[in-house]
Amino acid sequence: MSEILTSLLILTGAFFLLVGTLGLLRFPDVYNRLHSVGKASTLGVVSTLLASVVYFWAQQSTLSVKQLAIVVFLYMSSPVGTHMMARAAHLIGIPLAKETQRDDLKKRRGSVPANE
Amino acid sequence: MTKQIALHLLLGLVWVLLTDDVNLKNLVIGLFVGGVILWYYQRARGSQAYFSRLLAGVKLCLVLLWEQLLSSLQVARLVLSPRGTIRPGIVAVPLTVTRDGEITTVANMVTLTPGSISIDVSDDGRVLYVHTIDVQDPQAIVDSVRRFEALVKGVTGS
Repeated sequence: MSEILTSLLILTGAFFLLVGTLGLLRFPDVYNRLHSVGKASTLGVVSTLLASVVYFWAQQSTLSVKQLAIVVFLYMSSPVGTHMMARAAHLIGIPLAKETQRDDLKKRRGSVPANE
Repeated sequence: MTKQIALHLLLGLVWVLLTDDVNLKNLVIGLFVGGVILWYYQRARGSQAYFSRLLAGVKLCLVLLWEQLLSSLQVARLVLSPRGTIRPGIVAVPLTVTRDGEITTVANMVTLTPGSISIDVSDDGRVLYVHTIDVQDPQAIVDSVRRFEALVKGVTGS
């Protein structure tokens, strides 16, 4: 039972890590790529960590607090990191992809080109 | 609020010391027992503010986990769909929360929700700039931000 749960969690984690990485290749600009890394990859890592928690819970019946702490810190740091990268990219004027429909932030700064 | 959190932690710690065995299980039991004591104490004083805020915090965490799963599935769908049609854009969303901590929490939640990451907050802290992967329905983004603001306000009690 615990083996099935562990395998499922690892497979889910691997799937989301793969999807997040594919998103890096497929999406057109830095902002869209951050979508795929900031969400899918975070869930991939969390899922893998939970697999480790379940495994050691079943094998040695110890609750691995360390892994759970990593999950908590990941949830605190990952959105901040994503936000800071997106903000820095916009501040130094990295252009948005040509598919971009609107840019409300440009009106405020007035210096960032809307397409490549 | 801070006083009640400190009291709760202190009660949990006292339990751990009384059981004479420092481990996580005892701390969890101690926090539970401390919670029951605090609950009776506050019921006698006719105030349940601490517990409604504690519950709001738990609800916020659960909603966040669920939204993270949904957003990852959405990214997966977009990445794996053969026709890569995305309509990204940056939308300005006016904020109703005012404190720095509340704005930070809402911005982080927006980053973890389907199709949106927060890019910037205006200098006066009134407008949140959100990059969305599908700009067809800007109202949906405003709605989800409003929902998070309501959740965060439940925790901070403003």
